[in-house]
Amino acid sequence: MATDDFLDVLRADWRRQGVDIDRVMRLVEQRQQRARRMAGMNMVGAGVALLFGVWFAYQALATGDALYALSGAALLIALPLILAEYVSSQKNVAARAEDTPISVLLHARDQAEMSRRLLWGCRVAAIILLACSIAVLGLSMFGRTTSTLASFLTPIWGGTGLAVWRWQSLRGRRLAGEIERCDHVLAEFDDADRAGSTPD
Amino acid sequence: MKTDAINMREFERIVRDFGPRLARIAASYEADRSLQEDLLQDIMLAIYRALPSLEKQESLAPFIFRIAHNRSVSHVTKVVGARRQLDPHEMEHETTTPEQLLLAKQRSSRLVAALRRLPLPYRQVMTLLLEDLSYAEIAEALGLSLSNVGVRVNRSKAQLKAILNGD
Repeated sequence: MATDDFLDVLRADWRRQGVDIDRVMRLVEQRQQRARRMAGMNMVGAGVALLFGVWFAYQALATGDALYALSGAALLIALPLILAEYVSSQKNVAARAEDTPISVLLHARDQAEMSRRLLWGCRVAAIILLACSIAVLGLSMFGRTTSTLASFLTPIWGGTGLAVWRWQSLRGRRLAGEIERCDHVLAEFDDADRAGSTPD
Repeated sequence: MKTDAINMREFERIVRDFGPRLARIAASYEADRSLQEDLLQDIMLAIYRALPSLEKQESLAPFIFRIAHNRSVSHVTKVVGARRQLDPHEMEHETTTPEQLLLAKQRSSRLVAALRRLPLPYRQVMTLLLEDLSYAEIAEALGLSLSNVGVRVNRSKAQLKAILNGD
């Protein structure tokens, strides 16, 4: 049959593609090791920031120093908001045996929507960091603090606030693109399903 | 620990047996070589994580290909790479040479480029058919009815012929 010949020729062409499987296996192992290291480093980083935040808050209560209060606020309020969206974006959901292409697309779409909603937290965090930066600058200008720490905190928080604002803006656009692509592919499956219910 | 060792042995066996086939599936979704490699790694990691949920060894092929296609679909929605803007002239970039081996390689590349132009539902069915899966196995891998597989096979063949003929 002509169609069988067509598929036989295609199969021969299809199987000519080669791959160095040993190399791919090595890359997979390296990737797993890298992911474990990154997860460990992220946890250590978050833990250190949290400890500093608690220490700053304690110092604020003990000394009544506005600088410590602002530092504690920056770390204990802004950081979790940023981390929430970061954790959501890193979620690598394990493949499930019962998944279908459509359920994968719907899940990807839901996850993108949820991540997009969580971006409000990053916007709030950016505003908090910028506000803290301006507040520390104000304290220094009006002589309410002479701590050298203030001269570091203003640019660090200000810069971080701007970076977080830019990051959430770019991420929002990327997520909108993902949602659009999910919708486009879902429409392809919908067309194919409708075509499938009317055999040739 | 024993389960991890068994899973790793099983995983290595699957990589040896299915690796080239999974690489071909990845190539049908992604034209960029480095992203193709990333996707293949994603697929293999997803298979490794899903291995504990494999219930029947007889269903290994549909299980593996289901994960491969699902991961690839996820890749398509997330990655915006050079491939994203489909180049309608991608298939015309090949130049002909008198060497038979090169010609065969060009035909292979041309086929993969044509497959990338198929809508995903038809691309999935066609790639599994080219991997010698039966209609029943394709139905199991993609969560479709047998009749739906048949319709998609016919349509994907027709579309693929039209693309390869330059329509």
